Amino acid sequence: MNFFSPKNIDEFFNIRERYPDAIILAGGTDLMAQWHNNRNIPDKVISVSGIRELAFIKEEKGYVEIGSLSTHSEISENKTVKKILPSLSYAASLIGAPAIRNMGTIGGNIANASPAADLPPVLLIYDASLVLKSKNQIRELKLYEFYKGYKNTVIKPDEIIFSIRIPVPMQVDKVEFYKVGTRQAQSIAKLSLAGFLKKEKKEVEIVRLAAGSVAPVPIRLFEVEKYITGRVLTRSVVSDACDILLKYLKPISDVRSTEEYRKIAMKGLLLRFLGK
Amino acid sequence: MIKRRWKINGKNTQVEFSEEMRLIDVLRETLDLVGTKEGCGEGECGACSVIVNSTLKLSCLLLAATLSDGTEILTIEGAENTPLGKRIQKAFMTANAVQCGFCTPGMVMATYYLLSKVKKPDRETIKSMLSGNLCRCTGYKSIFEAVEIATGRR
Repeated sequence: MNFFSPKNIDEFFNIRERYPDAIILAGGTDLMAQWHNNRNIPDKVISVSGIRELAFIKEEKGYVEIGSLSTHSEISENKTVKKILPSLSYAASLIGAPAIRNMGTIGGNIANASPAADLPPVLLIYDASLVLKSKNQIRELKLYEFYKGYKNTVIKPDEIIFSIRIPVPMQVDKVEFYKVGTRQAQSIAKLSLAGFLKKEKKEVEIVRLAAGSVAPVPIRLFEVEKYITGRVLTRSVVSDACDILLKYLKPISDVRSTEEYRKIAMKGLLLRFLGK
Repeated sequence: MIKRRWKINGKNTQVEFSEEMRLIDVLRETLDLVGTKEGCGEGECGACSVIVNSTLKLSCLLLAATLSDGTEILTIEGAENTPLGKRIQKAFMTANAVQCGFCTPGMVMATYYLLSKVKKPDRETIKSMLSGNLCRCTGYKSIFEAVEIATGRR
């Protein structure tokens, strides 16, 4: 294995230019297990752990910006995140167990593009964007534009996730994250739902919904949101919303759960969020 | 080959290992520190827990090369020589918190990490901080008691 460990981002881009096919390693909580289990160790690895300018959390001009190398522990314990983005703090606190949270990073959680990742559903309902940097360019795109297909994203070989930018949310009625797993610690989600809801009197003014582990990628439930917006959440509206939800659900049966269970349980989570 | 200078269990140590080795391989094979155990090899069981720069990590998921010069590593062999480690060791014996012993190094390191952060954790905090460490013998009760003994709560 050829191993590279750049000390700063400029060094990273120089190495990346020479080895566009190298694997980028951050916390290693997923990649290291895969390499070891499959006896499939890549030829070239660039470790980003030494690039300290990627590890930060700050609040500025109406945004919380989280550097991609921030660990789940840092995110769940950070005071700004706790106060402004409580569901993100909560979701980060549910990942794995303490040692895993001390290693895994938000950038890895996103770039790895697992449909079962815990942070993307919450980031989606907070309307997060990704800041992608390459040697001479910087671009920002919404997280929902990032995923292309199973474990596949639109990131280019010369780019790195620099940070995640999340607008400071307005006063809302409800922000929640539900994760269904076998037990609380160490579980990879059977399914998850995140929701963001603001009402004006009784009508839904703004709603955002996102789900994990029920499709090839973490998804925003745009059509469900569109249908609910402007309506009062009566029993029949909620029931219609659940019907629309079904269109999005393309779960698989795997070692963690079955297709059937995932569909039924996801409907249950939506009912719980919208409050029957 | 990768060359690094780490501080392992308080001692400055020069170590040389190949690029694809994990920290647990370097500890056990290169340095003969075989107290740290490999259980699942995929981050589920916690048997390989060690403390790297004051933070609990899993040595089976850590590519050794990513640890730069100056990294401080504490394993079960070093914990034994610290006041906190001694206290935890004694408490595990008092509470009979060890049966087959395979999970014990990881349990002790997770406990060490917990007690270096929180002086008197309650039962819920103990449970959550040890939630990444599996034990198939004790049923955990004696382990939680051991941690409480180590804090002086019992």
